[in-house]
Amino acid sequence: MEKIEKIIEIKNVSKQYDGITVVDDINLSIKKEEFVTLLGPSGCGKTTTLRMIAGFETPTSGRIFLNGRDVTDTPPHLREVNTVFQRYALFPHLNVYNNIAFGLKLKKIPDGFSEKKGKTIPLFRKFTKSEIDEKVNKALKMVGLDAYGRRDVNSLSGGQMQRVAIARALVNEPVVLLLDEPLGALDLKMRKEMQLELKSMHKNLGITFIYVTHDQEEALTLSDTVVVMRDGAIQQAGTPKKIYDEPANAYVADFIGQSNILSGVFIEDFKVDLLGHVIPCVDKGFAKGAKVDIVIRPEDIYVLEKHNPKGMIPGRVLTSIFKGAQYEMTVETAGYEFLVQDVNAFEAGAEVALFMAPDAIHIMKKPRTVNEFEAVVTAEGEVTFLETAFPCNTEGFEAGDEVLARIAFDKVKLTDDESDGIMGGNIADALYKGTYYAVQVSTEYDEDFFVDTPEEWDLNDRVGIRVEPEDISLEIKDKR
Amino acid sequence: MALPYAVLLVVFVVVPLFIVLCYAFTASDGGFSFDGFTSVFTRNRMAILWESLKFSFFTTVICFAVAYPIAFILSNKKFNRSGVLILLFVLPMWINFLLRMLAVKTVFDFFGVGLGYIPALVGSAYDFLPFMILPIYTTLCNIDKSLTEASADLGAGSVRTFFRVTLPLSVPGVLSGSIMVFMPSLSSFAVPQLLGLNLRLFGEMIDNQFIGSAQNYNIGSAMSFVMLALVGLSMFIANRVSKKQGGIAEAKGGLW
Repeated sequence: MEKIEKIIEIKNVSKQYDGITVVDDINLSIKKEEFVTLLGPSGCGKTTTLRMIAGFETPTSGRIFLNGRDVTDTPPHLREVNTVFQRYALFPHLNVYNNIAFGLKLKKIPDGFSEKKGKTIPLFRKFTKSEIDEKVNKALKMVGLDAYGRRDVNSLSGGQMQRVAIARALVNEPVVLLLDEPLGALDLKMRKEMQLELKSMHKNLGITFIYVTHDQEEALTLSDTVVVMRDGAIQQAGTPKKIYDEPANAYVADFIGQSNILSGVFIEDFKVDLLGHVIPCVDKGFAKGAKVDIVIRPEDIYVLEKHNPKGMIPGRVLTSIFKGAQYEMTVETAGYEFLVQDVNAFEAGAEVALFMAPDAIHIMKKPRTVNEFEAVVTAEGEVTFLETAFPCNTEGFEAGDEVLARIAFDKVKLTDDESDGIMGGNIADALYKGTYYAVQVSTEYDEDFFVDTPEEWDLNDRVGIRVEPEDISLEIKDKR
Repeated sequence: MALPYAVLLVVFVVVPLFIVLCYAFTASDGGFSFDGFTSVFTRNRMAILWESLKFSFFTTVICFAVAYPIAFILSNKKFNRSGVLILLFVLPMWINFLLRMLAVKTVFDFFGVGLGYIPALVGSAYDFLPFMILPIYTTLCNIDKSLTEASADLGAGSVRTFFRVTLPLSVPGVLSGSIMVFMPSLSSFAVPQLLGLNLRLFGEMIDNQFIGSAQNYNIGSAMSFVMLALVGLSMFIANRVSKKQGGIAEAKGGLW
């Protein structure tokens, strides 16, 4: 038997609601006694994933294994997992004691065997009153609510309710404890306190915790493994340190902690072009001349005197704020405004040079390099994709041809007024990349436009999407 | 601003109540007297009052038995996506009740069912059904879905979840529904008259004192007064019980 067992395995699980994909073919295995956090913005599918593990939702496809047993179709009350709900979900008609005892009163435990006609039949019994009493009191003690058993749950504060919810779940000694943004409704001080308590409970009890949150700091503090999710897909899974130091892509880098994210060009192994400067790095193996995303954490940048020979990129300090342990500065260079944390202070307005060590420069392949849509040539000079007709040069193609339409990121134009565009969309994401914004525009048709634009757009704004006919390049689909 | 309302209140509530009070405590010659009340508290009339209480009680029980499953099914969004179904059940409420009762009578006639106690009970239950469905339905709809999920999560199957979580949490709805049925059915007189054949209830007796053959305003008023007291008492009890339920669902789902 393997020493490290997989307690939960999620295999190719997808979930759709009315045709909309919420969780998109995820694979994840969770080891015994691990503290795993599903991290992502709202709507990324993290809660749905948790609910599928709990059994409240059934995957549209894929399987879920608990302790090696396929539980995909097992109803929640037969799964050995317990959940701490986002809004506590305490039973208002029961007092604290009875809330916690709820699961124990239902539970059947093995009680020896009986021999009948040569067959061994396992026997079950319920917990006795004194056993329940003992367990409930132990659980109350664990969450620090010893004297609260007879209290009405409606009279508790948010923090106390949360403790009851945790006790109610843990008292059943589940194999896995699921926590759905359990601290979301608490104030900051209480959150910090509960985080520490959860962490020590996890350590003492040896139960696997799966924790859902949108708070990256919470995820980094608590977890053994952080799973970053976006649009129903897992972006990266790894230890907090790995996620922070080596984000898999610009999205993860941006979501976890503060970072400087720039576009650059990979020159050759160990050399990258950053804002026109050749900077040494530790990465290799990218294609020469490939466009890459570069992530540099603010604490990895050093601010030096302007004429220091070590300086790589000249710049000027815009703001400088004392943050206790170090100074947080913004440094303007030709093409990018760096966020820097350094112990050496420079006044705003000072001319400086920036230095970064090769291993501080993190290079990632750009996830996409061009917009690509499956399209049909609908008429001469017109191609249709996302159920919308775009004027386009169709020379060499015939109506009815199935093609791939490609549009470069910087050739897509956004308009304030939806009616000025060929089609409409919503700003789903905007990431500053030094000289431009990388904007993601979601459409009604489950596919997104990726746009590089010098203008800043507000999230969720409704915009028009416009493409000049000559900027759409077509290719017959079969050629691929 | 409040003056018109105050005037309305005085003219249509306080004054009539005062008139009832006056009649109840006077004799036919206009002098002060307890005769009205003494004739109410006779064996015969008390028996009819008891009969009325039983009739209302049965009506309430039948309504509850029919309404709860309906409300439970309708509160499940799967069956009642648009809320049209609940509307269908509540729709008859907006038809004049005499019309409804005459329709019920016609239905009984059509099937050759003779009138009497049971048809009157059925008619009465049918009459008040929406008043029971609606509050239970609202309470059930307002129960936080995560509570039933929590119950399942803690090991309760759907039957246990119903008896341990859903039913206790719907008590406020059941209570307010019961009041909505019990109180008006206590004073009903048209239903027993139309469907009950020889059924004599308290409401009908009051009616008889005012426009019927008996024609004794003093006794009628005393009887009305007793009825009012009963209604007030049942409301008081219901209030106490629902308070004891401890602000469950913050008394959501009541009709008031």
